[in-house]
Amino acid sequence: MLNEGTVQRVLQETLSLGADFSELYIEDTEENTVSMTDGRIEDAGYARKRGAGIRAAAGPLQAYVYTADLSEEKLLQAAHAAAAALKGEAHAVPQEREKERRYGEGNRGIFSAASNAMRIGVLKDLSQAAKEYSSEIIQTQASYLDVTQHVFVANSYGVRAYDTRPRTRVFIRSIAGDGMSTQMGYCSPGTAKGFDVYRDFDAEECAREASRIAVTMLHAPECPAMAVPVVIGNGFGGVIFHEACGHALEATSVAKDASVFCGKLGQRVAQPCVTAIDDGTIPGEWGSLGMDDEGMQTRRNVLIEKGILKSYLVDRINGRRMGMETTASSRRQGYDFAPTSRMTNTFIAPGTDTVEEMLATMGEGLYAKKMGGGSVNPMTGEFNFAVLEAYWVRDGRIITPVRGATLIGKGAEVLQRIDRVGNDLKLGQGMCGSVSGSIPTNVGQPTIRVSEMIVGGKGGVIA
Amino acid sequence: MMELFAEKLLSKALAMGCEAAEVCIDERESFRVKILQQEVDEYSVNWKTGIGLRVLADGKNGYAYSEIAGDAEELIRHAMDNAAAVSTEDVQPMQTAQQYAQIQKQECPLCALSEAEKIELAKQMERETKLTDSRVFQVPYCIVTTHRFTRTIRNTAGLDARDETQEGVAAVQAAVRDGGEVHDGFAYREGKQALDVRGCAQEAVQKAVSRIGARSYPSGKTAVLLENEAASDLLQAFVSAFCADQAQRRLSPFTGKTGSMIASEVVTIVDDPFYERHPHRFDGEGTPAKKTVVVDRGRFRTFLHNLKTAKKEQTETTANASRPTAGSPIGVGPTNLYILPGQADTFELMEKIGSGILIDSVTGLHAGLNPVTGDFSLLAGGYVIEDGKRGRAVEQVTVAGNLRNLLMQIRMVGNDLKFAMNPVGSPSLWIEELTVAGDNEEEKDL
Repeated sequence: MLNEGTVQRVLQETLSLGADFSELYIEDTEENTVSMTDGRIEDAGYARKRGAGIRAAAGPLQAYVYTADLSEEKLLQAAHAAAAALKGEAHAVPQEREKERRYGEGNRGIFSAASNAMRIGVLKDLSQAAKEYSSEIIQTQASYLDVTQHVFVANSYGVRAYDTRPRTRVFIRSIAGDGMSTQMGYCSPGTAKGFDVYRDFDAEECAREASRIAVTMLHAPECPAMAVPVVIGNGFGGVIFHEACGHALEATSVAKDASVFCGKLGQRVAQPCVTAIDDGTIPGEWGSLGMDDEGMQTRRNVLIEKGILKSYLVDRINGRRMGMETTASSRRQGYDFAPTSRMTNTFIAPGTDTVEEMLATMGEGLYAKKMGGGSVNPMTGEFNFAVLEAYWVRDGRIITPVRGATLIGKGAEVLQRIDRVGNDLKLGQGMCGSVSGSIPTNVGQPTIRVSEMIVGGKGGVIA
Repeated sequence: MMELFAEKLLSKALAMGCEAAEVCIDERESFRVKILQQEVDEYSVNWKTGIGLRVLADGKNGYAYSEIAGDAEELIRHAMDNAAAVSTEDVQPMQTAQQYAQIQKQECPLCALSEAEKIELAKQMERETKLTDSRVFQVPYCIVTTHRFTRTIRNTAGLDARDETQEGVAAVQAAVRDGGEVHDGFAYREGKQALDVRGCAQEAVQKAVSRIGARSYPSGKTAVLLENEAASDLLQAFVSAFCADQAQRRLSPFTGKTGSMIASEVVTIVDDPFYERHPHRFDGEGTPAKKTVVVDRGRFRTFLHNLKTAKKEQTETTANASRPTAGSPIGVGPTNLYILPGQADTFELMEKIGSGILIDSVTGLHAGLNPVTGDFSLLAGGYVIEDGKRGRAVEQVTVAGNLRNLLMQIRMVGNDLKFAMNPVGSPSLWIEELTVAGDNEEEKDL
C-alpha cells in the first residue's frame, strides 16, 4: 500500500521524537449494503474507506493520530503530532525488519463477482420464506452486508504484515401482529467467507426461525419478574459470557484496575464445569482474523480452564502496564480507532450435561432459549440482557412461552453460579461495541444453567 | 482536493445519464485526550474527509461514499448501480436553492484552548476527582475532547449549503470503594459549561458515593420518579417512534395516532433545531431548519418528516432529514427534541410521590426495548423514595413498561430539562406506575 521508504521514515519520525514504539496501520475497506422492507429494496449503498493510523508509545502511554490523507507529507505530520504528545527520550532507529507476512491472500477479490442482483436474490429468499411462514407475519425486514478489509501493519519492532478480511452477513427480522400486539423475531448469520457461502445457505430455515420466534412470542403472556434458576440456550446465549465476563477479562479494563478479575490469575472464578476460550483462528468464522490489528498472528487463548482463571486478553500496550505478553487480541474497527484488547470468537467449551436434565431438575424458572443483546459495566460487573425467546418452566416442565424477559446480574457472581454445562456448543454472531469501535465477534456456548438470576419483565402471572 | 472531485462528480453524473446528483462532504478534525494517573494515557488527533454521492437515476436514489478523491466515473457507476437496485415507488426529491438564517452557535470555550491547555485541564479534572473523596480509588475514564465539523451539501438542483460546528466535552468516571463494595459515577460538561471540570469531578464522585449500601428492591408495581438523564436516555432509545419513515413502515407504536392523545396533558414535546445546545441551520437534505411541535399538551400533532416521507403523505417536510454520515442514506431524525419542562424541582416531586422509587440510570437500551411496540425492560439504578424524601440506594433491579403507557402516566414534569449527551432531552418525570423486578424478599428494615 505504501513504499518501504515512506514506512521507515514515518516510523523513524516517531522514534526520533521520543517514542519507544511506533506503528503504522493502513486500512482500505470496501463495503456493499442492501436493505429490503416487505420484499422491496429501499436502499443500496457502497462505501470505500481508506486511511492511516499512527501510534506512538512511551512505556505504557500512547498517542494516536489518524488521517484519510496517505501522502508522505501528511503521514509525517501525523507521526510528528503523535510523538510530540508523549514526552520521551529520543530512541534509536527501528529494529531490523522481520520477514513480511501475508494472511488471507486467498480472500482478495472474494466479492468481486457478486452483483446487486445476486445480493437481492438472497434477500428475496429470506423475505419470502419469512412472510410465508404465517399469516400473522405483518412485515419483514431484510438486509445484506459484504465487506473486504485490507489491513497493513508496520511497526518499529520490524513487523510488516498484511491481512485481507472478508465478511458477509444477512439479517432477517419478522414482525408478527394480531391487531392488539406486535412481536419480533430475527436471525442474522454471518461468516468471514466470500459470496460463495450463499450457495449452500438455507435462507428458508433462517427466515422461518425468525418468524417462528415472532409468532411464538405473539401468543406468549408477559414474563413474571423474580429471581429464579435460568437455563440459557446455546449459540447466541454465549452473549452472557461475552458481556458478563469477556469484557472484564480484556486488558483494556484489567490494566487499569477496573475489572473484577484483577489479580485473580490462577484462582477459582467459576465452577469446575466451566472452561472458556477465545479463538481467533477458526477458519471462516465471523470473529476470525489472520492477524490481530497489531500484526500478531491470531491464536487460541484458554481464558478459564475448569473454573480456574488462566489468561486475560492482552494487547501490546496494556501488556506493558500489566507486565504481560500480548495474546494477539488487539483489535479496532478501522483506521479511525486506536487498537486495544478485544474478543474474537469467545465461547464456553462443551460439557456433558443435557438440556432435558437441566430443565427436569430446575423446579420453577426460566428457559431463555434465544438471547437478544446486552451490555455490561466492567467496573462493577453489572450486566443486562434481553431475551428474544423464553419459556416458563414449572416442576421441571415447560409450561408456556413468555415475552419481555430481561436478565440482570453481576458477572463474577453469575460465573460462580453456573451449575450445568451442556454438550451442544454452538456459535452466534454479533457486533461488539467498545472503545476501539464496533467489531465482528462470535459469542458461543452450549446450553448452560445458572442456579439463580434476577428475571425482569412486566410482572406477568403464570397460572 | 475534495471540492474539485465534488464538482467533477456532479457534472459527470449528469453526463452519464443521471437526472440529478448531490454531494455531501464531511470534514472532521478532532482532538481527544484521556488521562490516567496524571499521565496522557491516550491521545488522539485526526483529520478526516469523506464524500457521499447521491444520484437520481430513472427516478430512483442511489448512494456511494468514498474517502479518496479518485476515479469519479467508478464512484458514479456504484451509485447508479445502487439506484437501479431500488424497487420502492417512493419519490425522493432533492432540495433546491435555499436561504438560511444566521444562527447563534453555541460557545465552545474548550475549543479555544491549546492542546497543552486541554491536557492540563483533563489532568486537573482527574486531580479534583481524587481530592473530592478519600474513597475514590480509580479514575478509569477522564477525557477532554473537541471536534470541528464542516458539512457541505451541493446538488445539480441548485442547492449549496454549508455549516460548521465546534464542540467540546469534558467527561469523567469516578470509581469508589467502601469495604467490599465498588461503585462508579459518570459526569460530563459540554458547551459553555465544558470548562467546569471541578463541578464535573464532584458530580461524578457524588454519584458514585451515593450508591454505597445499594441493595435490590422488592418486585412489584411502584410509583417512579424518572430523573432527567434516565428519561433522556429512554426517550432517545424510542425516538424512532416519532419519525415518519418508521411510521410509514408501520414500525412506530404511534402509527395512525396523529391527532389523538398519546400522552398525559402535562406533556408537550418539541423539536427545536435552534435550541442553544446544538443549533442547526439546515437538515440532512439542506432544508432550512424549523421548529416543530410534536406533542401538544398530550395530543400528537405530527411525525418528524423529510422530503420523501412528507411527499408520501402530501404534507410539508419538518426539516428533519437525517444523514448521520456523508454516505448514509437519507432518513428521519430529531434535531433537539425535548419534553417542555414544568415548574417542580425533584424535591417537590419526591414530596408529592411520597413513596416509590427514584430512577437515575437505565442501561441495556440497545437490547432491552422493542421500538415497534414500545415495550421495555431495563436494568436500572436509583434510590428508594420514602416519606417524600430520597432514601437508600437501589441497584440490581429492572424497570419494565411500555412507552405508550408511560407517556399517558406522566403525572408531573420537573423543571430540570437535560440532554444526556443525546439529541433528545427531558426533565425529570413522575410516572404513576412501572413494574420493578428485584429480589423476592420483602423489605425488612427500611
